[in-house]
Amino acid sequence: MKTATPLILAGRVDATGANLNVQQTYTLTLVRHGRRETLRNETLGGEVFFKPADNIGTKAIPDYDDYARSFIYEVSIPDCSAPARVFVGQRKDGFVVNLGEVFDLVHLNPVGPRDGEPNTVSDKNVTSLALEVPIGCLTRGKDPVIGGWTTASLRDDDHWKQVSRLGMPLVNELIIGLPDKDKFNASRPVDDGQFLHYVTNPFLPVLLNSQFGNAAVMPASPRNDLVAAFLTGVKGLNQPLKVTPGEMLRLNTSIQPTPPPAQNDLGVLGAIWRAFRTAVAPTTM
Amino acid sequence: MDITLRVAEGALCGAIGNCGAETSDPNHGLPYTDGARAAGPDAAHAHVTGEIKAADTYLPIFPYLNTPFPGSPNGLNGVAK
Repeated sequence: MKTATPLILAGRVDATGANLNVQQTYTLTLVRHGRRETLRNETLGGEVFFKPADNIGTKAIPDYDDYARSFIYEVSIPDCSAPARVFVGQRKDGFVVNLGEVFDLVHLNPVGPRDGEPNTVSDKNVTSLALEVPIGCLTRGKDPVIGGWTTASLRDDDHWKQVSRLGMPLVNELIIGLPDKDKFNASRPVDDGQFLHYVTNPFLPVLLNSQFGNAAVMPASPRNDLVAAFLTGVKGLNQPLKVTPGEMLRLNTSIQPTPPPAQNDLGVLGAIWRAFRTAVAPTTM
Repeated sequence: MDITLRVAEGALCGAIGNCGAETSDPNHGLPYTDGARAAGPDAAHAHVTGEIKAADTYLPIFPYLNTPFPGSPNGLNGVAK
């Protein structure tokens, strides 16, 4: 009697996928002005892209770097003069945060040393979707600034329903009030005027004041300085020529990337103009 | 160039590169932080002292995010050696 294997692999895994019992694939769809186009895999031909197996271990995949590189594909984008590149697969989490203590009523010294606490995701992996697109394919006219955000949707009967969105990290967690969290997740940046009061009158200073008293005096509101940080971008740096306030990551593509050794985790605030938030975009493209 | 950005996750700043030393900002110069700074290449370096080494965390080439930790072999705490 033959029994079906419970494992995804039958032996050492390589880029051919010969010993994989499960192969994950994906397609890319460009939605522009309401029109949907399935993008072509220029490396393999066709419209299917493959995802590498996770880094199971060094016995199954001795050289994961080399293995994963085989899953970087060129992808053609209509009306784009050069191909883009895409990789979907497991990566080391690039984010830096002290999640546990922050959400434990700021169980730390918020004015202590900036490098004195653990990065609680430093030992985590995360499935990542990386897409590198030529600048000329993303900008319009003479404005070098672009805005980006992600959404996640779930199948709801016969259509997709947006259940999450993310530009700047932790906005929904720390800025948006409980009654509006689902609404924010289902919304678009162009409609963010409805959430303006959460930015101009943020709750986080109230929390800090409740925990630390006079050591954390609440700033005067409205916090119009935060409008630039969260909604419009900074004029002359990453604010579009014609801006509609909306929560997203805004990138000035005319500013060259900073080489890794010269990067600063505070980005522009650390006098590094070339990466607004290194925790999110360590190397701007 | 007129830079009006005053705050970001990590620290509050006045002049560029003068984080935490500004006395006229809305938070009175307090350099609020969660304390976590970019870690080294593995969990053994979760606590970082001294210079940030972004190259340890990110690759200089596409896809820029670093190679994931292998599931095996494991150390005593379950984190890959």
